[in-house]
Amino acid sequence: MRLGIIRKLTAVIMRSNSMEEAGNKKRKAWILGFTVFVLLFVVLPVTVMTGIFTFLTTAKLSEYGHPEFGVKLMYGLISIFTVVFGINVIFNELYFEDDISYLLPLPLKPEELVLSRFFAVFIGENMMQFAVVIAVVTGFGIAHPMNVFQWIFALAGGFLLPIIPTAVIAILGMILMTFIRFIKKKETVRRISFAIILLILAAGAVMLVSIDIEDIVTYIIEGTAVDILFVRILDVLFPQTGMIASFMASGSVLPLLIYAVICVISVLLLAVAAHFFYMESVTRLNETTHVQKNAASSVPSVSRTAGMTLFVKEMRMLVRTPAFMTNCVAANFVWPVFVPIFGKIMGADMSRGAVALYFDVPKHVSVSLMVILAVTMVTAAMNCLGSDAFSREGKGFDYIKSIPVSYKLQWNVKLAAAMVWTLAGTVPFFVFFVIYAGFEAGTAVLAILTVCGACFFVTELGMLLDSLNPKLFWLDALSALRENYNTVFCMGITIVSCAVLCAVLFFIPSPVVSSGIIAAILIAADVVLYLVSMSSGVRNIMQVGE
Amino acid sequence: MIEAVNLSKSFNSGAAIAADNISFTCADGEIVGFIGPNGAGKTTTIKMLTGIIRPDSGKVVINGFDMAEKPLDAKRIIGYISDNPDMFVKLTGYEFINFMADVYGVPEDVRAERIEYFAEQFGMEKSVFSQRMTGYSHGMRQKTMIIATLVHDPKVWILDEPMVGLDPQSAFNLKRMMREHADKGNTVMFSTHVLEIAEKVCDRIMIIDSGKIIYTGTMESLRSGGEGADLEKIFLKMTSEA
Repeated sequence: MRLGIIRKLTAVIMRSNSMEEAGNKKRKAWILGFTVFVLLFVVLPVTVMTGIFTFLTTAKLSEYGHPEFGVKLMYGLISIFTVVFGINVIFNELYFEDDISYLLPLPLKPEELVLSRFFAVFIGENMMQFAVVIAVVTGFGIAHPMNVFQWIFALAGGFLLPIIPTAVIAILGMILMTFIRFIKKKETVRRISFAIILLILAAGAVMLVSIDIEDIVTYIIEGTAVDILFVRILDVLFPQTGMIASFMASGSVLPLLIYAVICVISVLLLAVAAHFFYMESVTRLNETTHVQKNAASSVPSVSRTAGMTLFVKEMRMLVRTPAFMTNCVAANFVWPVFVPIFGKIMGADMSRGAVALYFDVPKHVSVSLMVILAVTMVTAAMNCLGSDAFSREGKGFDYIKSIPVSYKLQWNVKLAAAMVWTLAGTVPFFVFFVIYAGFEAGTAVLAILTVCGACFFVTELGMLLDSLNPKLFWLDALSALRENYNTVFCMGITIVSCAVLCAVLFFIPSPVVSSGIIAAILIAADVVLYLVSMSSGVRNIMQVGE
Repeated sequence: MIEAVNLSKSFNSGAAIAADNISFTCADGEIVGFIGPNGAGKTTTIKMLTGIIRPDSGKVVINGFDMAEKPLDAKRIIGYISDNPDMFVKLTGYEFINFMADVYGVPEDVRAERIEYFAEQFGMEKSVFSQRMTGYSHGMRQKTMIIATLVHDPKVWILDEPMVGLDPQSAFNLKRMMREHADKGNTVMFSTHVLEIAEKVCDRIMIIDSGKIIYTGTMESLRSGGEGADLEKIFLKMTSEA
């Protein structure tokens, strides 16, 4: 195994994953502005809040002699997120990226190939996460003083946190791919990886339902937190989180050493697994589809208008591309499942009578309107349907510019496709909710109008951002989402806009009045954004590649 | 007819000049080969001709329609084949061809007829079109793209490296189709790196280097101006002198 080769290959992979620079100075200035905005108004507040949360939790738990528990739980959650999001990423990096077919013929050992891709994922995924880790360490260090040695190694330990979960996924993935020999199509693997994510989410949901907050507090106070099922599972799956937390709390070198050894062993095991399993599994996969015996031999006679045929094409590309199907389409339908789960965790009585009684209080209606607004806006930003609208065209972007269909129509088609999927996930749930909660008719209608307006706002905003500098060079569809900064910018601006709108809802006591004001603000913002899109947005599209 | 008038295009704030005051005409009934070394500006010029990027200065006129003023009218006349067929691969062949036919408003009976004709020309089983293009070979994708591009029977063909990936029979048939199309009074312009193809198929060739057209004329005049050598030798001499 040549470390120099791994280092160079990692650099090449990371370089090829990075975003293209904007074409002209004006666009560069815009993008720099958005970056600063997101850093100041999203990353900074999130890290500060995480730090404060860790500080408060650690300070309180220190009174009961368990200062490490907050950090351990926080790192456990980070590790879970690493696994959930890492499955897709690792499968993608090891099996689906287009450049694999160029790398396989090179005289590289399988462990060199796998480790370089692994480190590229590790560094790429760790950038945002490390800001949170710094906040956790800082919050902990203020509440529970640490010496310089502890500070340095606490930060280093936090930085290495994703190594073990990512390595475990990669090892299990390669073993799975080797022994499930009947899978030869990449498409099937993509479906399996999606199914695994759903299974983990379902298991997580079941586990969350079993949690009772009062029990947790009691367990912690009594020093028997290990008895909580969730904590026990975390201890088994991610033992390293307990070790780094223990080192931070006690300053003892032993848990730190064990932590370091586990990290090194996991990387070595990954190299061994790659040596034995990778080539066997990656060279067996193919994209070929066999010709069906009953395949149509005559032209399917469907004739559509240009707008409708573009819309159908857009929908097909979204549904048939696994990365888009999972992240852009399915994401709209997953979150409603978690609403009753969180209700259960919080110990709320969710019978209709109790819910209606709860929402008889205007303040509670206002709070629920904030939640409706926040969920809609975050969903619309998270599904990336707007902020990835042009980037997902990839190599086909030039082609859509060459066809005789106006850019305005093409823009509207993408907007419509995004709206259909986002509203399909949000509107039915919220209609059910406002009826179930017994909202007044006026408030209910305004709430649904707010959902539509918010969805339009975020989608339009995303498209406008993506039109400035779409990421058109990507090796796999998932990269079009992961490596596209426009989705981050969109999320940042969405969070800030949402906070402003929620403030309006909070300070105006009457739900009908406040929701009316919110709906009016959103409609006005939508009109302005749409007009800007039809002028500047369309101009941006024309300028792409120039 | 394709008219390019004083086309200029630069990137990186003028640091890289891809097209430097280029002017040429591709007349009706003519096949024009567009050749030049890598990075000479061929694809940039083709992108300007097809409306994918706008020139910094100059204009493109397709059959009388100015690309800047009447882009949709100009684009309706063009059939453009990109140098990369790996796009929309999640669609089946039929879905992609139908998509293009819908965009250009081709009636159902006409498109069925044309698909039948082109499938035969390219030796493709029609049942293949029912499969998603992810499973196609490079050559099959290229053929499907050509069929989708030509399904609306465009008067002006602009083809970027159209022969790449085609088997000899299909390449031969495409060259024949180009000839027939031009003989009907239409325009064909294509870029290629294969000088033998340009030599055999084209009525006229244009050589571009460093963003400048360094030669335009017939093969005969090119040879008479040189030493009567083949196109390869003339090309190498001209591009090394430029």
